[in-house]
Amino acid sequence: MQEHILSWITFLPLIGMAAILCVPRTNTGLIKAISLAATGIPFVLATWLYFDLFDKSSANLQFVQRLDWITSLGAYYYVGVDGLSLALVWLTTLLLFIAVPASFGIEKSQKSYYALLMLLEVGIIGVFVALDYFLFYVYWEVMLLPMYFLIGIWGGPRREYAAIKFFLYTLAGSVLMLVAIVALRLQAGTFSIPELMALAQSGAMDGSKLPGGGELLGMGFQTWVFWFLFVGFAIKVPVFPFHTWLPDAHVQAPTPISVILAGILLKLGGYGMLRACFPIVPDAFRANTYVLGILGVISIVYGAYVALGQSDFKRMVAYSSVSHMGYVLLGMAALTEWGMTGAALQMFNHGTSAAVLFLVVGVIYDRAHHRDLNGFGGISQVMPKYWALTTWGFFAALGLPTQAGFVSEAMTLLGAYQSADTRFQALVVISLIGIVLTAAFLLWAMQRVFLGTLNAKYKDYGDMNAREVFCQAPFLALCLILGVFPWLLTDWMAPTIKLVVGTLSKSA
Amino acid sequence: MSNYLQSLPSIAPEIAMTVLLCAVLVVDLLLKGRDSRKVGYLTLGGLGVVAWLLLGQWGELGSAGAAKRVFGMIDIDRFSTFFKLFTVGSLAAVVLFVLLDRRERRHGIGEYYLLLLGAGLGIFFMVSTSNLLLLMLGLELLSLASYSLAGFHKGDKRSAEAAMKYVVFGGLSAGVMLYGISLLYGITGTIDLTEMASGPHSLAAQFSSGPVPVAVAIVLVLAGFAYKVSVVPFHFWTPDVYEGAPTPVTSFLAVASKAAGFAALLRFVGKLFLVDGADGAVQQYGARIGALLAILSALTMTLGNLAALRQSSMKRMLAYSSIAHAGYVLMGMATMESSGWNAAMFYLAAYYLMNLGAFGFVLYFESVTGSDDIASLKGLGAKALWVTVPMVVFLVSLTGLPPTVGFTGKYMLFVAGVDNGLLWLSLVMALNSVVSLFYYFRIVKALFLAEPAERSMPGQSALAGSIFVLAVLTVLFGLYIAPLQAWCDASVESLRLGAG
Amino acid sequence: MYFDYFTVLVFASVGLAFVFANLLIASVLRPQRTQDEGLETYECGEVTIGEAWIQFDIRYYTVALVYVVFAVEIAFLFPWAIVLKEAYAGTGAGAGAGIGIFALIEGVIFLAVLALGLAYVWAKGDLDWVLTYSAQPYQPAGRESSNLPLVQELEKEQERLAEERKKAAAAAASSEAAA
Repeated sequence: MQEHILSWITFLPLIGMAAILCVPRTNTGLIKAISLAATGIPFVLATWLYFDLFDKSSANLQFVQRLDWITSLGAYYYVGVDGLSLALVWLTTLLLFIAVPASFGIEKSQKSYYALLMLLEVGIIGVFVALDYFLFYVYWEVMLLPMYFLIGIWGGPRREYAAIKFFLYTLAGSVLMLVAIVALRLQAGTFSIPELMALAQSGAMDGSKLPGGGELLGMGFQTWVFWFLFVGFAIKVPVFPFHTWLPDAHVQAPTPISVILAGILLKLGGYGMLRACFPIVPDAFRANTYVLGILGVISIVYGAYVALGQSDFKRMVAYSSVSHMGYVLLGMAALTEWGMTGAALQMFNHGTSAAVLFLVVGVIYDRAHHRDLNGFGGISQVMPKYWALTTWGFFAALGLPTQAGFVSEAMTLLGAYQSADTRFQALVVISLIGIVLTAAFLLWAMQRVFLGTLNAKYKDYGDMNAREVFCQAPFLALCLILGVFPWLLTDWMAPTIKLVVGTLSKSA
Repeated sequence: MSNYLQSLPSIAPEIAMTVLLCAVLVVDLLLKGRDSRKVGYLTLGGLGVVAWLLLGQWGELGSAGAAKRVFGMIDIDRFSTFFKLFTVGSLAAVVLFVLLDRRERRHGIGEYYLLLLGAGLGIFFMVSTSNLLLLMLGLELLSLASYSLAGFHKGDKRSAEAAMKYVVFGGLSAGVMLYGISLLYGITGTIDLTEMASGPHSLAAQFSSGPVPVAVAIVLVLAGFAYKVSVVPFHFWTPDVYEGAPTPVTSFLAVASKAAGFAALLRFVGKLFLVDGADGAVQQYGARIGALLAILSALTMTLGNLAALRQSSMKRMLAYSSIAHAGYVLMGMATMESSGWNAAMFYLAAYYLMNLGAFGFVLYFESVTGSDDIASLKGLGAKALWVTVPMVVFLVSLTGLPPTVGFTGKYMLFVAGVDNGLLWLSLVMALNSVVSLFYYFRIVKALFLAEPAERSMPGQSALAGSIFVLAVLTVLFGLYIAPLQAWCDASVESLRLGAG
Repeated sequence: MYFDYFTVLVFASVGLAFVFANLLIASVLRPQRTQDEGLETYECGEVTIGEAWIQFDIRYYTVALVYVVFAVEIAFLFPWAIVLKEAYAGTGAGAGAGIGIFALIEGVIFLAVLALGLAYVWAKGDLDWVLTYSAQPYQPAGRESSNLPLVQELEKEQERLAEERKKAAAAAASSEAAA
């Protein structure tokens, strides 16, 4: 089983989905139990893999499986993990495992809900472990449909709009990606991502095998392939100006889905860039790092600035995601080991802190049935536990030292400052504004919700129950642990990051 | 004489089809129009025999390795057998739809099956001949049957209007095409495509001496085909006819009739321009035809998708979507390379599956709600999951998302496009599929995202079952494409071999 | 090659000129008498009533179609008969090819198919000039409304007429009541 452990982690939820479909819809207890098992076992497996089985000193891909799939198209079932993807796989299994109890409050057609949730997990883990571009793309798209339904059926009042907007944006990005993948395949003759990277190293990504040198509208082969792939991933991250689907999707989605959306789906974009975009067209990447840096900084500052103006609690959190994910892009664009490590850390840490923030919103929304920041006040008096956990979450999100966010943001900014391209120094200075704005909107929100006089409407609210605490606790713990012992992640990632940075910075 | 008799087994499927047609007529007369279902079952059984004959022929062609020509005008090759098999398959599905249509009369509709078989026979000849006159006859046989089928519900004003429009547009385009054929005959002195490509007065020789008449002739013939497969700007009849015609007929028009048009178009262009070792003039001219097809393809897919955005009737929407899909197939053709044609064939096969399924869905709900409006589906998604989930599969496939056959087909078209200098067209198609997502998912939205409706759904398990089978095939061929791809390859290969 | 067509051009021009010249000469030579009868469509015989753009009985169309059955039959059978005769006599184009029996069977099949068509028409009662039955127009359930432009127009028109009739009836009723 050990050599197939990745396939087990990927497909166990699918087995769970099949099992759920066989259960009568009225037996919700059994459905929930199956869901817990089908997400819990992969989590255990992923933990085992992370701490025991995986050889963290190696930059090689491990637990590789390569089977024939669609031979006539040259597509393989080809999976494997390195330090980078393993951390994200682990985070995915954790988040999905927590998402199940977090969804216990949902009443509407539970059978379909949990079945779709399982399918979603298959798609997400699949993307992280896939090493074949075709397989990667299939998983990438498989993820969309359950997400569409999860937002569209169980979402808020404007769910139909938000669901189709999410779908359209992501699809627009992914069809561009598909055209680029096709071009890569024709140029390199393979879908294998490691092989594509090796070919890129040897300077074989020049479009020479395509008619007309693979040019499109006057752009060179690498340039357009890079931008197509980048836009595909940037929509997912989301990077300014492709972010407008995010506030709608986040606000309309039910709480557990928002958690997954912010915690994991956004990371797919950053992960995709690092794995399947930059190293494959490194020349075009190097030529455009500064543009990417600027986009990153705009996301940081603009996201935080817009969040400051929101009166909807969830919308504010959504925009904070835009801001936080900006660091990821900035760190990667800087092309230093520190920057890259910071970006990878930031992806992971935003996964935990954003999850907490959305859960926090969910707790108050379940009671008040609205999310207007100005409509609360003095909640700390009736819900002290809630206040404590929220404060912790907020501080984690705004990057207080000892919290994980601090480490990753600091590393990102330092890395960017060290960049060989000195123009990045100016970008770092500008992005500091974002930090201040982030602190501002979080603290202001805290003041409006928890402090001040208690609104009489809310005086008999019960504090957080055990289930709600259970859902938030692991993420808060992770924020603290990784703030103090970031090596728990960096030791695993370091070899891979070193390899990627080395690959990217030397020209062919 | 022995020549003729020896050739007869080669057209056994056609003969069987004709005998079946006569048998259906006689049986319907003997039943005096009562209980037409029996006629339907007879038709299904007969189609099974025809399919069996075709499969035997396919196997035989494999062992013999090459195509043969009988009676000097009918090409028996894998290309034609491929399309005949799919025609029989879709005819069977359409007959099944008629049998299972709850709103259809039970008596006095024997002609329904008769006309369907007639149309099928027309397709058989149309897809297997290189003789332009026989092609025209097959096309007309198909068209005449289709006109009557479109107007089969005489009392229904929409059906009558559909038939009328179809006849008028069809007559015009047939005339245009015939004129083009007569010009070709005037230029080359033959109506046989093979001779036209390589004979003493070959078309190639005329490119240089009289390019204008050649161009006019070819464009006119292409216009005729463009009408049949509803390519912009010859698509105007499509939405009205598809909407007005009875739903089973619509599915026949959208699937079998359109694919037959493509088959004839592929053969026409293929025999003339996709010749191995063709000289420079032919290749150059072929490239120009390719460019023309590429432009038509871009226009067709864009216009079809944009127009579909605003439709409220499902049948009209699927009509525009079928126009868009014609554009996708044209993109594969426009490459003028075997790889692109394989992709076009594969996409046509995919199109068969997903469109039949989608029309089956329309039929299912039409008989419940009495209308094909998207709005009438509101909140019914959970009421008939055995039909609505397959519909989601078909729509996902039509949009071109994995893991469905529509995605694989689209992927292959992309590969063909990028590999043959049509990168821009691949991009246009990619963006088009985003547009198409929006209108396809309006159906999903109505089904699942609206509040569940209070309405009982009468069970139609047989129809639901056939729709489900189509959905399973749609996913199966998306994940395991080897057999379908092998068939397509063999078909296009035989088209090239048959050039000699 | 284009010169070959010059003769055609000359022929066409002479033909056209001949027609117009004759018309011209006739208009000069003929007596000019204008009477009402001269302007009638048919100077003798039936007096015309109304226009030609009216609905004809569908039966004329059916008969015309049935006629085609026989017309095609004749057009095909004459050459077939000659070839068959020659094939048996061993002369002409079919000599020695041994297609006699084959051609005979083919002709019989052809006739059989046509006969089947005729039988169909007969059985369906399309040969009876006086119709013995009347069919109900078929209207499937729930297909009353349409968004085809022409039908919509038609339906709107019918609605408007019905409305007018109703109004007229109401007006008549009220005036009656007033009286």
